[in-house]
Amino acid sequence: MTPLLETSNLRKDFKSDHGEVFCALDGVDFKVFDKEFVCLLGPSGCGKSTWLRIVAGLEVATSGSVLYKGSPVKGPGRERGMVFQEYSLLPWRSVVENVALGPEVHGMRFEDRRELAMDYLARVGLEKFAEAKPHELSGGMRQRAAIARALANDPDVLLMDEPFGALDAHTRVLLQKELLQIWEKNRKTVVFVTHSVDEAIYLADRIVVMSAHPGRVVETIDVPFDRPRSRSCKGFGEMTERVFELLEGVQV
Amino acid sequence: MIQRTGTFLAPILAPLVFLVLWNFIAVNVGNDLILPGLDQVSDLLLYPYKDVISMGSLAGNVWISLVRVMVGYLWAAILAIPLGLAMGASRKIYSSLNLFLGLFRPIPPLAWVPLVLAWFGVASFATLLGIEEGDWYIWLNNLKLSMLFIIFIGAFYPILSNTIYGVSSVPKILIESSRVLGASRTDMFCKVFLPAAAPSIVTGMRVGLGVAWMCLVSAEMLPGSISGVGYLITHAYTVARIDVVVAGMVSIGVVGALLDWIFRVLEVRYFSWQRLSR
Repeated sequence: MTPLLETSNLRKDFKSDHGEVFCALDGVDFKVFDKEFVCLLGPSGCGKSTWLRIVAGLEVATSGSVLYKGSPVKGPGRERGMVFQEYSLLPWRSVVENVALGPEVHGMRFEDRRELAMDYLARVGLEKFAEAKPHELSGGMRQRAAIARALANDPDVLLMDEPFGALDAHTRVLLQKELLQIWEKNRKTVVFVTHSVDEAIYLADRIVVMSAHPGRVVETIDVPFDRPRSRSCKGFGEMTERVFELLEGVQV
Repeated sequence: MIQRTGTFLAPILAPLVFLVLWNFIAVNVGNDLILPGLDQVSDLLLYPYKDVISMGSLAGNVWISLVRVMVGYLWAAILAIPLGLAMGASRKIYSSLNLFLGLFRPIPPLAWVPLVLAWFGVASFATLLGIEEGDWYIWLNNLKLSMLFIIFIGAFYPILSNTIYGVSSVPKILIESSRVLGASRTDMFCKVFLPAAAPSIVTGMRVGLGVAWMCLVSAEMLPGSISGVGYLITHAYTVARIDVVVAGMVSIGVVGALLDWIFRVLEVRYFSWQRLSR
């Protein structure tokens, strides 16, 4: 079975303003299979976001290969949707116009793309805010709209770069739950970057643990818990402990 | 109640004090050649269609000036906006033109006058179109190329700088989030860069119009000009009509403030997202 996404020996160097070279990713190999929910977990500076941005086509790797369905990634494409940590809605467009942006740039007719956008807004519970401007929404609502926008473009894989990182703890848990509900209805492949152990175990089928300076894959852990998942299920606490120990070991 | 009267009075208090002070000094000085009284100037302003110093009416001269400014300004906007968009969007175009354009930026519009006169003399739109008599001649002859050039130079740089700034300061996150949706270069330009830069462009147009209006007085002092509010002021001075000078200055101020106000209303109405989304 060919993986949906595969990076091999992926290396990324950044040059600082003083000309020093800083290695963000040092030979990262891993595969993501179709319909899988993978979490990339690691301390800040481990290059997990960089990996995601390279896969999205927003950054170019220094060396190594990135394959999507077996062919090299050459830039952004609609089959790889992305949700960012920062609020990324276009502030001059209403929420529904934002969600319809993907279909719009791919030439869908006005009525059709509006209907589609409304459908996705309903899935994230924002249909009442369709005509609002992004600044009128709370942080959680903006991220819900950003998820709806990514999904409305019908990608094969959803790349999520700490999408709930800027939210308060309560909203964060709420959105994790909602994300799983959406995902279970319509299983897309998801690669979710986070530095929260709890979030990774709650969401993922598989966790890829990374170390920092330079960024490397330390271990891949399968998460066996049934879905819909609960934090009180047997083994959740033990696994949390284990992953924390693993991270302690890799942190300098 | 007191507070409401206060907020209503606040903006007109300073002008009121100014007017009272002006009249008080004018009455005490008692010399029209130094400071005309409030009544003389307001007489001129209340009857703007009356002929003054046999140069046509105040309103007529203001109108001629406005048309001149608009023509020069329009050219500036037509050239500066696309150029600014290109320079803001492409580093290559920016670095190849910025130094060159930067050399002209510090030259005050007035410093162009002698050169511009050498180029255009008293040529006007009428000369360009080969019209030599009739009503159209009178109108088109008011649009001296030299004046239009000075107005153009004045308006060009504020519009250019603000357009470049608007395009180049589009948040990276907006660019990236649109690119990952698969937006083409054309889509990126029309649906992201242009709307994101629009508030800055309009600010540039507002500032540019202000500068253009200010350049007008100097432009209308150029030889060959026989009309316009700037010329009215200089001519009124030579015939010792300081009341007309002041009335002309007041008109320039009021029209300039009005133009600025129109743009501000536009900014508030269409670009409130920019202020609110910070």
